[in-house]
Amino acid sequence: MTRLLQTDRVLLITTLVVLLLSIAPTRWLVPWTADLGSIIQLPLTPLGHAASGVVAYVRPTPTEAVPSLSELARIIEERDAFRGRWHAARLQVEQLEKELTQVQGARSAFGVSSDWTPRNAVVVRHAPGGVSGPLQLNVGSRQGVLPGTVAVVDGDQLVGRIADDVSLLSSTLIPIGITSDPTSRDLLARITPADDPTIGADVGESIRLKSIGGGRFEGLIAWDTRKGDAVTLGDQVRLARDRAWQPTAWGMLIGTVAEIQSTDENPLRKRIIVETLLYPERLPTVTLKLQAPSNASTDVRTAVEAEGTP
Amino acid sequence: MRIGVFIFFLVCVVVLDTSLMEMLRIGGTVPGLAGTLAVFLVLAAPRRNALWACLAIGLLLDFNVDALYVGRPYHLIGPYTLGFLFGANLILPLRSMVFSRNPLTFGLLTALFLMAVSIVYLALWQIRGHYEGSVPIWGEDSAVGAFGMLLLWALYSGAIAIPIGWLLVRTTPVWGFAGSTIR
Repeated sequence: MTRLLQTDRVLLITTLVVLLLSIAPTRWLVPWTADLGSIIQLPLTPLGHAASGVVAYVRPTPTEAVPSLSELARIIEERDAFRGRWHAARLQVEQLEKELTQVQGARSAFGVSSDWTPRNAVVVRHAPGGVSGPLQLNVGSRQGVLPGTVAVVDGDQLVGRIADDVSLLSSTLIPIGITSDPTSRDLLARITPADDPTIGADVGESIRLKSIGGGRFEGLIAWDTRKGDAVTLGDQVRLARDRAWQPTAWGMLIGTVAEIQSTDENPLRKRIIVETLLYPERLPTVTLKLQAPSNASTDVRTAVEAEGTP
Repeated sequence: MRIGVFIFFLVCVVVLDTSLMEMLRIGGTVPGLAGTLAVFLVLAAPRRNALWACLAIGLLLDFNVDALYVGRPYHLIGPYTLGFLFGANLILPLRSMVFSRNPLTFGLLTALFLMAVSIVYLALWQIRGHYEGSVPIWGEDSAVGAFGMLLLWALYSGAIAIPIGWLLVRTTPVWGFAGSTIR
């Protein structure tokens, strides 16, 4: 073997094989490179896990700045207001739960699923050189992770979804906004005012977003000058009932409105630029919203393929 | 060259590059150690061993970059593998002209090496950008912007290579290089 490696011819042939593989059609590479990569990474994953733990300890993800006194007073006021609303909402929820049990058989096909279990996952691998792209997580099908499982941070900030080909002990997280991911090319979203406490998939102005790279999206929105500013800078953008995503992702925060531009082509519409609030490649951990296999929309891909675009 | 020692260093470097180096992120730039290891081997190991080692480092890095095709992850074998081979062939003629024990040599050569890697890396991904369903790994950004990022990566990695290279030179006896050219 060692003697074989000493010949220039073998090195030349290997280089040519690599060159051919590097220009081979992508569909030839997809079926086997992901599996081969999983096998190669198997011994590296525990070490990567340990190293990620060290990174999270030494350089934790920056949290929000400490609020000023005026902000603190406002937060306390808001807390009290929300506490009152919460008690009222709780009573309403109890009433609705009773009604829900009666109409379970007639659940809407678009019903938002609440049947999920949170599961923390550690990001064990980023692309070398800090390039943004899919991330490797330390949980796989053994822990109940399925293709399409939704990943969030801070409760409602959407990070992305799990790619197909989940292996037993690891999985690949596709951050939202990656242009090569079909589910991010055309997102159905809703814009809600920044100070609106209502969270939901049906609240606010509807918009279709297209990823433009760098954690940014663009979309057009009808602009009625009589109604005034329907959308302002800093407004929240949440995922609407987009069939390409599991229902557990609906209503989750995508980002905020960063720019509002006029378009010469269509004066009655404004171009909205949305920026995500987080850098997925810098996250040490994420929370996965695990669904039971029967509930998980493994048919998401089917829906996407059937519709052509998500 | 002892294969066991190489595999140990290779695993360490790839794990550090894909996880721990995130700690040293400045803006969008994260340095890498794989280039330093490759430059050390090119300077110290016999020519063929150095080329095979660079091929192995590049191959393992390629298997650590996930790309997407219609939502399915895959690994493209080539950008780093061929890039490291190209870089090694660039550095090999220089090794008789430099003082490898000088830490600055590692800084300069690693930056040069990684710039060569970046050119091959960008070229291959740019070609693949024309394939149906394939998007370059830098997405909708321009290749020039991606090259700028890779240039910063090369320079930052070069700076990190100064202390790491000095440490690697100290490990030379462990590697068992036959007729080591390091001086």
